Amino acid sequence: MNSSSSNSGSSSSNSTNIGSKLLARYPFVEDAGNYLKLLDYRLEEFDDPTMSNVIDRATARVVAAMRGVVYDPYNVASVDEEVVSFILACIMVKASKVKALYRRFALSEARRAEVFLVDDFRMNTSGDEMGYILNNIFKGLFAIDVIYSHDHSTFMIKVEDYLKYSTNFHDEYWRLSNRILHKGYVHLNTKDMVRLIRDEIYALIIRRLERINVEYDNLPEALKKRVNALKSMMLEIDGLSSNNNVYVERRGYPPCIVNILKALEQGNNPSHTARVLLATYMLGIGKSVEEVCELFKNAPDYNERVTRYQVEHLAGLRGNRVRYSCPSCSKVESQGLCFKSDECNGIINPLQFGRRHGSSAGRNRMDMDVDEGVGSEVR
Amino acid sequence: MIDGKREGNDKSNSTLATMRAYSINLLNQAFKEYYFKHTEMVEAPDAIQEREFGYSRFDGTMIRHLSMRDRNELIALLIMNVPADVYCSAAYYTSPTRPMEEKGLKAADLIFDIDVKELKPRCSSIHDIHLCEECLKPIDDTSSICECGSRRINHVTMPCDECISLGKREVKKLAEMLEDDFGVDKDNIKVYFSGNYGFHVYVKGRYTMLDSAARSEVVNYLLGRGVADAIRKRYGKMLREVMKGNRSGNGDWKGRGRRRESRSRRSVNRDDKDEKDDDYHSDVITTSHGYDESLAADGGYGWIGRIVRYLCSNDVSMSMKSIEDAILALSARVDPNVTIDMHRIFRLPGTLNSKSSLAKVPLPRLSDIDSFNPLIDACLISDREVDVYVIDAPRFTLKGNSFGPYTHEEVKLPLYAASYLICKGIAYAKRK
Repeated sequence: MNSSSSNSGSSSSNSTNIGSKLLARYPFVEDAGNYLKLLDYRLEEFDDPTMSNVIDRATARVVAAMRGVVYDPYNVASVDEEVVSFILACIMVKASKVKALYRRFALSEARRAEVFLVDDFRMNTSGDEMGYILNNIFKGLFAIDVIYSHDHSTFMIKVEDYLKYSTNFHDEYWRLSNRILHKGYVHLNTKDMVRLIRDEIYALIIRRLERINVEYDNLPEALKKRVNALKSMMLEIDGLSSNNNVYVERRGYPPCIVNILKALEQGNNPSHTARVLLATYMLGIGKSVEEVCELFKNAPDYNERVTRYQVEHLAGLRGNRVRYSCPSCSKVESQGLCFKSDECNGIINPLQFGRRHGSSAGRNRMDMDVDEGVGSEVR
Repeated sequence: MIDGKREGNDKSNSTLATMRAYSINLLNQAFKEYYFKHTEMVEAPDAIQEREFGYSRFDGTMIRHLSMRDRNELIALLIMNVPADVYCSAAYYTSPTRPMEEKGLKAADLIFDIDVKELKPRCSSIHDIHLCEECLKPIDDTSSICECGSRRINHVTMPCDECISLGKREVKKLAEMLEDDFGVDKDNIKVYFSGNYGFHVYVKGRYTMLDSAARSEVVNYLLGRGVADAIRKRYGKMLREVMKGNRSGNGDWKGRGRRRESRSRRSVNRDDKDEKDDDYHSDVITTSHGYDESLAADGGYGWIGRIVRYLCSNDVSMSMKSIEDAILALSARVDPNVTIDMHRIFRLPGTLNSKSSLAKVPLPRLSDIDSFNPLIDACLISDREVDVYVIDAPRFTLKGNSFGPYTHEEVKLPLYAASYLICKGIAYAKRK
C-alpha cells in the first residue's frame, strides 16, 4: 500500500520551500513566530505607510472573524503577507481585550485552516507536502500519529487518539460504532480527519493569543487606530460592551447549569445537548426567549438567527409547537453533563434544584408553576 | 437432627442460626486451607503499590481503600484474615488509600465482564433453584413472594456446561473484536473465570489511558449499539428497494460481501497494488460519505464487513431485521457499567469467590478456552469429607464427580462440594 505517515517525515532538500508554502496556509504552527523573528519585524515599523497592505489584510482577518465568516479561503497571499497579517491580527485582537473577539478570531482562523487542510488533502498533495502537514500539524501540534493511504485517500489514526477527540462531539455520526476499525486504527475520510482536529486548532490559537504580551499603549499609531475601529465595530455587531462577558448570576442554579454557563463565559463551545439543557432549564424557570438567547452570545459559533430559531423551537413557538421540558437528572447524567453536588439533595430534575433551595431561580420556577401549570414535567 | 420436610416450619430460629454459624466456620476452614496451600495461585497485580485493595468478611462487612507494599503483604492479609472475597482496583492511583475523590487516578486496566446470567441461558430453568430464605421452601422462578409471605428469595444459579459454553462464546467474540478491530495483541488479553458465573477479560497495554467516556464508546462498539441506526440512515433506501423486490439483494450486499471477503483474504496474504483492480471499485456504494468509501477501500473491515460476512455465510436475505439479528449474534455482550466505571474493584485473580467457593482462575492461553472447564479447573478446595444438610440441590458436577439431586437430606460430601452448596445458600454444615 502506498502510504505516508507522520513518522515518515519530509526530509527532502526542498522541505524549507514546502514549509514556507504551507506556513502561509497554516500560520498558527510553532514556526510562525520564529518566521517573524527571522524577518526581523519590529512593531514600530508598522507605522510605515508601506506596511498598510499587510495591516489591511490583518484587519480584514479580524473583521471576517467578527462577522462569523472564514476570511478569504480561496486566496492565499505571499508567505510574508499571510504570516505577518496573522501575527498582526493576533496582536490587535489581544490589544482589544475583548474576550469574545479572541474566540471568534480563533474559530474563524481554525475554520480557515480546516478549509485549507481539506483542500490540501483532496488536491492530491505531494508526499512531501503531506509529510509536512502530518508531521508539523497532526504530530507536532497534537501528537496524533496519522497514516495516510494515497491509494484510497484514507487516513488511519489510533483508536485511542480518535476517542480522545471524538468524545467531545455529541453527534451520533462520531460514535465509534459508526466507524471502520481495523487492527487498532480508525479509518477516516479527509473531511472527518480534519474536522476532528479543528477544535484543537481553535484551542491552540486561543493559547497563542493568551501568550502574546502586548499592551494597547505600546502599539504604533497605525495599529491603535485599527484596534479602536475594531472595538467599535464589535460593539456595533454585537451590541456588547468592550469588556463584554455576558455575566450571568450563577447562584441558585444547579451545578449542571452552572457548568454550562461557566463554559459559555470562558468562550468554550458547549455541546448541542448541553445547549438544549441550558435553554430548556432557563425556559423552565420562566426566562424569556430573549433572555435565553442572550446567554449564548459568548459562544464562539454564535449566530443570532440560528440561536433564536432553536430557542423558540424549544419554547414551543416554532415547528410542531411542542414545548420541550428540561431533561431529567438521569438523562443529564447519561449525557455526561451531570456535576452532582451535595446541594442536589436527591432531586430528579434540575428544575427542582431551585425549589429546594428557595433561590431566585427557584422562586421564579414556582411562580411559573402556578401561572402556566407545567409543574408536572418535573415529576 | 434436622427433620427433612418439616425443617422450614419446625426448626427454631436459634437452631438455624447455629447451623449458619457452623457453615461460616466450615467455609472459613476451607478458605484458610486454600490460601495456605495455594498461595502460588494468587496473582499480585502489576504496580501493586498503586492499586486499591478491599475485602469482605463472612459476616458481610467490607473493608476498602487498602494498599499493599508487595505480594508478601497481600498473601499475609489473605492468610491472617481469611476473607470471603478479595478485590483489587482496575485503576492505578497516586494515593490508593485516600478517599475516592483524593486518590489521584492515573490510569486503569481495560476490563470486561461477561455475566452468563445476563445471557439468559435456556438451561437455567432446568438447574437454577429459587428458595425462600425464611421457610427454606422452593418456589416458582416467576414468583417474587413465597406462600409463607416472605419476599426474601434466594435465586441460586447452578452453572452447567451449557451455560459455561455460552459465556465462552461471548469471550471468543470479544477477543476476536479486540484483536481484529482494536489491534490488541493476543498476549495482552487475559481471560479469567470469575469464580462463579462469568468471565473477566483484562486488556493490558495501550488502552489503560482511556477515560470513562472513551471506555463507554468502546463498550458501545462491542455491543453494536448504534450500528443498526447508522445502517438504516445510510442504506435505508436501498434496503427498502430490495425488500420491495425492485432491486436484487444478491447483486448488492450479498455479492459485495462475498467479493470483499475474498479480497480481504487476499489482502491478508498479499499486500500489493493488484488489490486496486476494477472489481475493487465497481461495487463501491457511491455516496459522498467517507464511511462507505472506507468500507470499499478496506475490504469490509469493522461492523459492516462483519455483518455482511455473517449474512452471506448464513445465506440470510437482506433486511433490517436480519441485520439487527446479525448485530445481536455478533456483538460481545459485556456488562457496560463494569468497563466504564474506572474506580471499580475486581475480584483478585487466584482468590476464592464466596458465592461458589470456586477460584477466579486464568485461562493459560486464549486458545485453551474450549478445553477449559471451570467446574474442574477452578475447583481447588480439598477433598476431605464433611457432613452437610442439603435443603435443595439439582444434580451437579464438580471436579468431574456428579452429586445429587438432594432434597432436605443429610449427606457426606467432599469439602469442595459441601462448600459449593453452602456458598450457594442451599446447604448447612452439620458440625462445628
